[in-house]
Amino acid sequence: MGSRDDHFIDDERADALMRRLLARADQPISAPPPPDLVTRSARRLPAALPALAAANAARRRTMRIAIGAAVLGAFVLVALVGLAGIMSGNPSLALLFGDGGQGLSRALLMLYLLAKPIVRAIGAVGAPLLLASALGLLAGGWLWWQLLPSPTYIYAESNRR
Amino acid sequence: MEPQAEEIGWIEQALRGDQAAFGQLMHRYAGAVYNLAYRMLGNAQDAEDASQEIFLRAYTRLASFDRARRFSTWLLSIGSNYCIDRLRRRRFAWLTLDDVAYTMPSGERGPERSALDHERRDRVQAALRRLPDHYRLVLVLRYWHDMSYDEIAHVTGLTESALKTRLHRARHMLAEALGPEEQLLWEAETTIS
Repeated sequence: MGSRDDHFIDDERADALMRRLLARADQPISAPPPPDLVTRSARRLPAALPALAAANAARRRTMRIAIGAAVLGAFVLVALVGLAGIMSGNPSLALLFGDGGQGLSRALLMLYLLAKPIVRAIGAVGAPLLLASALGLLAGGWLWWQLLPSPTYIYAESNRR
Repeated sequence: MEPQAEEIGWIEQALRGDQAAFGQLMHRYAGAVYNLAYRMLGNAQDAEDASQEIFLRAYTRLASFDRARRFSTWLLSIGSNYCIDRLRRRRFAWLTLDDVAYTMPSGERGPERSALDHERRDRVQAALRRLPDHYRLVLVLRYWHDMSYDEIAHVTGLTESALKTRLHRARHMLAEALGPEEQLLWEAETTIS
């Protein structure tokens, strides 16, 4: 939003004018914090020393990331093995857990049979198109994530130290 | 004793595990932290939750506090980052149960609804809420916390010139958001001479 007044007024005057505008609306005023805010905040403080609490928090964060990565890795591994099975026309993953007649083996076999026509249909589109779509999706997602929290003008005018 | 020296004393004690000393710091800055959160997040409930989280973060990061800086600047810097993060996360919660509750008709005027009405009456608060987060932040720090440009630059990580540009645009946006009368006044005063 380029304001045409930018070149006509100095900062001090703009500052004073803003204060006047705010004063017309009886602002700025402080909103009183709840009386028990400090007590409740104090209750949430960890019993450990600050440095130890920071180390614990960092450890928990690392654990969360590791668990997340492990779950995601396991999921990707299963998906890849399943996909390889479908591509090769051999339900090897399902047969790892039995003969496909019951339990987990049967469930995996069912998934394999359900996924087979879908994968075949996607495969018919062509691997390069699939790869390009996946990359496009990833790039779009990344761009969306980057732009949504901080609009472009923030990047344009900020110069972080 | 100088307030800053007193604060350093409390910080040293808190680092040694004296939570009462950290309590003194919380008492001193409860108003500032709560007001920052209230102006940034726009409602009392979120502001209270955020204030608690900000103090918790400050406690766990206390060892990294640089004694050459002012504690208030450091604390509000943690607060600003937290509020911006929280607003970012809020964008993903497009329709929460709270939103549904607000749209449902209610026969009685509970305290939350009265508080909401009060917020609606607050034109400045409503205008602030319409501004982009980073613009709202610099206005809040400047006018509600009366911080100098140097202090705001420290809190936001902006250079002074970038900060001045952002503040200038933010003022213009706020004048627009306040209503036609304020906008006219702003236009008139800023284009004369």
